[in-house]
Amino acid sequence: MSPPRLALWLAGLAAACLLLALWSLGVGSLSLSPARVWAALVAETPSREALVITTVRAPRVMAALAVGAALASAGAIMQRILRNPLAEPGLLGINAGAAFAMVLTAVLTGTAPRGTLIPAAMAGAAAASVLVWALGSAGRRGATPLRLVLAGVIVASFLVSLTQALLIFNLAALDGTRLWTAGSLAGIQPQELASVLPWIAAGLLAALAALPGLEIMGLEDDAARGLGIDPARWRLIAAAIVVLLTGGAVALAGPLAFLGLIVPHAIRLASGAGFRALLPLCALGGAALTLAADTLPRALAGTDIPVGITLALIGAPIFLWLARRQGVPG
Amino acid sequence: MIQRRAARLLALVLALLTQPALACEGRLYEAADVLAAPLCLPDRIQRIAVLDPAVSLGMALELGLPVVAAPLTGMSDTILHEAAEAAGVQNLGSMLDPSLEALVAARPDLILGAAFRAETYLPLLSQIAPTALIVPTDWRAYFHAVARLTGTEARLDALMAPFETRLAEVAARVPDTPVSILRITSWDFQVYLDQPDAYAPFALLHELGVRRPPYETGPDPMGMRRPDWEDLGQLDGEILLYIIGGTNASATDGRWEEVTGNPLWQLLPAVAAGRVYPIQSAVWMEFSGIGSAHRVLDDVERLIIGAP
Amino acid sequence: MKRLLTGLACLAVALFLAIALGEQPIPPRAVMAALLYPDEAPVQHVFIVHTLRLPRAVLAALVGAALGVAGTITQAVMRNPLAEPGLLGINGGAALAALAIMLWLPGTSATLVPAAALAGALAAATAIYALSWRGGIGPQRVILIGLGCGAFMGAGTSFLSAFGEVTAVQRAMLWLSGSFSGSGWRAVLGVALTLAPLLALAWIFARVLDLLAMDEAVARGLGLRVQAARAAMVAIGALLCGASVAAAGPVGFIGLMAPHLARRITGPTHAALIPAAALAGALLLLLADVAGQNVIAPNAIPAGIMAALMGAPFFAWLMWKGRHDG
Repeated sequence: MSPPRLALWLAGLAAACLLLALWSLGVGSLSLSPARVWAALVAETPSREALVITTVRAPRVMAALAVGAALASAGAIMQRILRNPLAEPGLLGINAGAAFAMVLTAVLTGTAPRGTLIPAAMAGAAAASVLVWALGSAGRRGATPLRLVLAGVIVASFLVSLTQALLIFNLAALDGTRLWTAGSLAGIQPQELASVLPWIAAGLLAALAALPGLEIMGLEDDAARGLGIDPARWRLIAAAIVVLLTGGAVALAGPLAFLGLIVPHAIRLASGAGFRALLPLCALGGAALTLAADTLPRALAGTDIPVGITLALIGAPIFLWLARRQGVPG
Repeated sequence: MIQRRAARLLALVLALLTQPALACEGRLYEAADVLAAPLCLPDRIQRIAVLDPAVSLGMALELGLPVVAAPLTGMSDTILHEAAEAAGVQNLGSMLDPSLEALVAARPDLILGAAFRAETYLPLLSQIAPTALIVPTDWRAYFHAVARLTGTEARLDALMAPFETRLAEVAARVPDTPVSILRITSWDFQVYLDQPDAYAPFALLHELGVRRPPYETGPDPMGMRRPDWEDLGQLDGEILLYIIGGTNASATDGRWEEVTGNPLWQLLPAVAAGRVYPIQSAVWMEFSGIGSAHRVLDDVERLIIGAP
Repeated sequence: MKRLLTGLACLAVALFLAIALGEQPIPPRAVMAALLYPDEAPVQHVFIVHTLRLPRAVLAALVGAALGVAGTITQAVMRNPLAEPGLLGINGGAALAALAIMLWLPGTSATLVPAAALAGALAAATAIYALSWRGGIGPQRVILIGLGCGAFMGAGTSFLSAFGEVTAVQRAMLWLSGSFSGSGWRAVLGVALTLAPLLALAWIFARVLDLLAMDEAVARGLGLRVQAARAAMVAIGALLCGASVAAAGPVGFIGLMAPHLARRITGPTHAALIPAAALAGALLLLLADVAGQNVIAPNAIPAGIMAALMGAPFFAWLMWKGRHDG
């Protein structure tokens, strides 16, 4: 993709994120127009509105942007490394791993799953990735797309069942996680954001730094070796980045499916970008989509529908369309 | 061989299931406040199993009834729990999934519970012992039903008369100050509303004439609202009573510090004026009878009228 | 014949385990006495064995058999040995419909829930079938379409759980994990009456399943009206799933494991495979329920969760084992 076009796309998506953010800061039980939001933020003496915006709405907006960017980038990376158009953290059980680890920790410590449990989320994501990879790649033909998806589904069902078992025995935990397990950004606290943002930022920066290597990994292993990179080592690097991004996203919002799947495909279809351009575009596109999905139900109907449900309701039909269209290889 | 046996067993069971209400050997209970009335109850009730550790257990013990089994797991009302254990009540497990086998082993001659909770289990329970699932959810009506079922109306009157007197007396002294009541759990806020079919403690507040802000007044089909941090500002009573802990860990897991450290909390009128007081989950969330009702009055006298 | 008898013997042993083990310890001799001489044994034992444990065990066996056969049908029609109703979202559709009734029309549960579950299963199966259709049913596309539909239903279920009334949702959560808690003889009768004709039909059409599992051209050449046959078998499979979900909530993985186990014993011919899968399914779910009830007594793990905890590793082992097949 030519640099001017890339710059245009980046600017456009970034602008979309900013506008959505301004709109979203005005949505809530007290409806504020963007102008009033701006006024409240720049006013000298902090009004009640400003307080609501900074302590309640801004963390939620930032979390939505961060989670969207993280998951969409993770999806793009996974699709490239695994050479699988259907790869994404939700489908391949990584979300389920992080979620299970968080619920387990929450139940054991008597709290609710929150961003501060991010170490557990990362550990769970890492463990699930290892499991799914081992299972999916055991085979003469290696990790074919279908094998990997199946392995992911098995690991995910297993972990989801374990999570359900934990919740049934602990009804207080059930009430506390009901929304979170569907994928929700409600009630994000500034402390949670502070715990998690550094990790997501690290993941995104690492992804940008690793772009050249990741791009080459899209070729067959032999071709990659020919170009001077060690596939096994780079798979590990990619996995580490994906774990950082996914663990952080799940720690904030719970398991969100389909984001990592839809966004890369949508951006690719719309812009025709190659991988190097795709990754940053995915980050911005994912951020915008998540923020929109989180804000729309509240703005339209006044109800706070967990963003995971909204995304699944949009994403599942798109996944179905993709599955019909692709004619999965292997 | 097995088939014949099975067929015999099946026939026996079917016969039991379809047995019409034959001549009752005990007492026929015909009031409409239980499901599947009329019920045939034994003349002398000596072993009662209750299906919840709140109103059913508390009220039965207050009427001096012989309770032998109740689901005691997960109760946060330690006083009631200790009273139950002292009375030799066997634990049936958790309220949502009580052990039917333990229930059978307890050999009850009456099973008591609330209709809205246990309705689906009625056919199975009726085979263990006569089962009274009480329909009305208003606490006085519930209490009356329990007393009527067990022939202890006199004892109930002896408990209720002084309570009603005290209620009227306290109500006369309640000021017009708006009062907010908030439950803080580890994951959200809950406000139990002031509406006609409100949960017992909150219905009592209404009878006492305690005024609550518009946000905390119903009607709402759930009977409860879950304000987020933005809505919290609508809890603008001059006094704020809060419930923390109980069946969740909000008292110990850092939630309290998180809440009190938040500027939106500090902006609440009651917080700014320093009129924020804790009330007990065991009384306000696990209301269990006259004892709880008196403690509600105690809290009102101490915190709303007394206004420390 | 010998294998059939062995299978039945295993089932009998499993049934006995199910009624002998439980929260109240009853020694095996007393269990036999309560079972065979109900008039002489202590009333508590008789009640526990006949009214609490036996119907639950019979129901678990029936539902397991239904799921085993439904799985066999699904694998034959979709021509994919990894297909199973739970993975394909058919159970999800049934569960969504049933959950909606349980949360919105709580008083009518006993009568409407089974009907809703059946309708939901049929609707889901139709949707998956229709969406997978592109000049035929591609085995691999079907799995992906099924996953997508399952995810969509899952989102619907999450939505209902998030916005339903709390106590109703808590009760529904137990059911959603696939639970036999509180099952009585009435439930057994209902399920038996629904399943008997369906299982009989499936067995009668065993030859049709054999043909469907073959290449389409060959089947047509042998005189089979492939589209009609496929649609009919999918309907039977979906109804079997719907009835199972109505009785015990969504239970996955049994429909996957049972046919595989059965195939190892009887081979791929459906005339023998269907009864064997029914037997295997009954055995597996019964064992899952017994294990779930007793492994961490006095707490109970719902059978559906145990089935997943057993089934996922099994599925994984299948994939691991089949790694040389590519």
